[in-house]
Amino acid sequence: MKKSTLVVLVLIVLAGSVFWWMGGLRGERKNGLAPRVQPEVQREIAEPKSSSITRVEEAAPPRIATSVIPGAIVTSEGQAPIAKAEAKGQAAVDGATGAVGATPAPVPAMPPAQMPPSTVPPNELDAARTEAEAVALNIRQYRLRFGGNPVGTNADIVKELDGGNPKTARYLPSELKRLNEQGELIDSWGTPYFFHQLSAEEMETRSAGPDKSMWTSDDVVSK
Amino acid sequence: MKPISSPNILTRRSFLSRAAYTGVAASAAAHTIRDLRLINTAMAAQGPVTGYKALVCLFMAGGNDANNMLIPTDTSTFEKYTAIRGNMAMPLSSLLRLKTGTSGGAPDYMDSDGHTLALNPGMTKVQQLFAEKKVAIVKNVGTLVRPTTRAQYLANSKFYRPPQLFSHSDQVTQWQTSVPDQPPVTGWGGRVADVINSVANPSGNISMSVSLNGANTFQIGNVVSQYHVSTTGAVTLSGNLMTGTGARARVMRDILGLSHPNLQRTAYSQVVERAIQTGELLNTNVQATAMATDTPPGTWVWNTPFPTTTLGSQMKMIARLIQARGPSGFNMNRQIFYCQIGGFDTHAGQVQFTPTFDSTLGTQRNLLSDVSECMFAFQRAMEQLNTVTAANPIPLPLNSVTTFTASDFARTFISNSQGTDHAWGSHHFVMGGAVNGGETFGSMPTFALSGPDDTASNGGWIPTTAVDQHAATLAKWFGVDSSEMANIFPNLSRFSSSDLGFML
Repeated sequence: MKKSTLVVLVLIVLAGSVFWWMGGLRGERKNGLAPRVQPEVQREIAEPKSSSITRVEEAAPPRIATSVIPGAIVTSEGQAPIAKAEAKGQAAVDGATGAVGATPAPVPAMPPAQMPPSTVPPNELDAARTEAEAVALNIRQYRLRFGGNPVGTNADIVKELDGGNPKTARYLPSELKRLNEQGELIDSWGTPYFFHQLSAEEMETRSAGPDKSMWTSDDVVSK
Repeated sequence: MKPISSPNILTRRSFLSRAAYTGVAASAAAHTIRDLRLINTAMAAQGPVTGYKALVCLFMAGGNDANNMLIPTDTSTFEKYTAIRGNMAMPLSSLLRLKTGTSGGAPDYMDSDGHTLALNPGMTKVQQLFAEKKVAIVKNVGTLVRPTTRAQYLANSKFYRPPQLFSHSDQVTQWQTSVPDQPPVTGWGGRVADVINSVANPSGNISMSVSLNGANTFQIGNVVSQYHVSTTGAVTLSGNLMTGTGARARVMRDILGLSHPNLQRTAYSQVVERAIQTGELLNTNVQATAMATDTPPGTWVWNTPFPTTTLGSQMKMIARLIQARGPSGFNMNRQIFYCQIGGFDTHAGQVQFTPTFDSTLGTQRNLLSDVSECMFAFQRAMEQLNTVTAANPIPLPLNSVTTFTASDFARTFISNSQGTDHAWGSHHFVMGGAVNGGETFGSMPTFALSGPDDTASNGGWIPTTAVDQHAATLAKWFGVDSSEMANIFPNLSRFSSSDLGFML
């Protein structure tokens, strides 16, 4: 056997041994044990208590907090509970039932430059903001499920959100699913939303606002 | 049955847990050793390099709208350009036609597909460099997992589409790693440096990878670390204790030179001392060009002034670092530089809307004008370093430095009324004395919405040339051995050619 091969093997065995030992330590700590178990713990090893972890039924579909954000989350199949809300304002999920709780998503304050024209009724703008937030929220849920944002044009993203994903999960509830002839998701003024893809974890949902012109001061933006 | 209570007994769960840890550790150790062996093998396989060469990456952050940077001007194609681009289209009379020479009567350049071409009105200096055959253009290049047609893209986009296509940060990363379908670990510049540094710079005094714009993916390597330099020189540790030759600084050096029983303390001392030395060395060596006021009087004068913009300052510092490359300075034979200009994410304001609408003005023109002026000043600076003077005793061969542009992606061919949105394949410049200049490489996309090159119906062109091919062509010129290409560009074999021919 070549000397270098021997050295490599020794290194691998050495690393393995160290991690074997570390794995043991970690396992002990994880179980609330001090290294080299105490007598009471020995009993626990022998007669383990029933697990405190509640098993979650995969098939239980999440309930939607429609009273806060209409159409916040809809999936056609059971969705595993999400342990951590990604950001403040995101609908909380009950770990045991998979139900979506009612943590309201605060409507982001608009900077002065984005103040709408006075001719637009405020409730119309509020509804648009809520809707944009709901779309963004559903994209967030998609991202948590699939590890990244949906990709492509508006129509591509709609397809992906509307069951065209590997799990055929639906993230576009009927109350949000307002599409034009091209299959693009449109806002309440009839303009397709723009999905600004910043990264795999960050996507801006932009409505052109009442002037129907994108990238102007009355745009409604949600992340 | 009496429960087992021996502290030494292993439960099944414990055994499995430990076994998992051991497996992971052994696997990681094996992978690390394999990677180190690969690097060592690569270093051993890398043949000797001769002479000085530098690669300069000029990154246009935000996604440059290459559709308004390089425009076909032959009648039928230009009509399509005007019809589809809408308010983003620029009038033909404003465009800078590419010529086959520098004389006034030089005919228009025509590519192999029969297109005559022109540049954005802000790029007069690049137009000049193209005519001087110091700039080449690579058309419709982008991140590709594998060669892709529209039919393939539409039928199985997940197989053909790079992950998170159209997202800024992911596309920047993929351009700079050239491995779009794997998690980013190293940049292709960093991998080139890993392979070539020990052979090329055995007695080099600074890192082979120098960034003028802070941390970047392009220069991340396994062995060679990137060294960040500001536009005024090295960012040194400040204070009387850390710099200069005064008594306190000498005492500080003595303290740092002491041996310590604690290995971490020793390592810390070495890092601090090395940082001080490298910073001082760099600042001393760029001193000759420190007074580079661009206009007399000054100990060093660049004949062509660099723009006073952020990019201009970055490129000027790169020129100064290259000037100090010799044995009495950094003693480098191969260097990789990185500079960057931002602001290309022109969803709005790409062209001028107020006070009057003018598609030949606006944000993009201003940015491209800056890029053009900076590239020109840099190229002229490299040519100036070819002349021996008292301050520049070692002439820099004209074919030593190659600059290439890169960007997140191009932008949609259709207008969003205020600007353009994220797309894919883009056109890029390669500049330098070793470039097969005055030529274009690759092919222009077909200007048709939902046409053969469109991802959808918005003019997001599917690249016909991969970043891998583009980068491999540069790496080959830089001296990377052909046997190392597969290690540096693991997807390269998926494409038909590894040398696009734009380097002589």
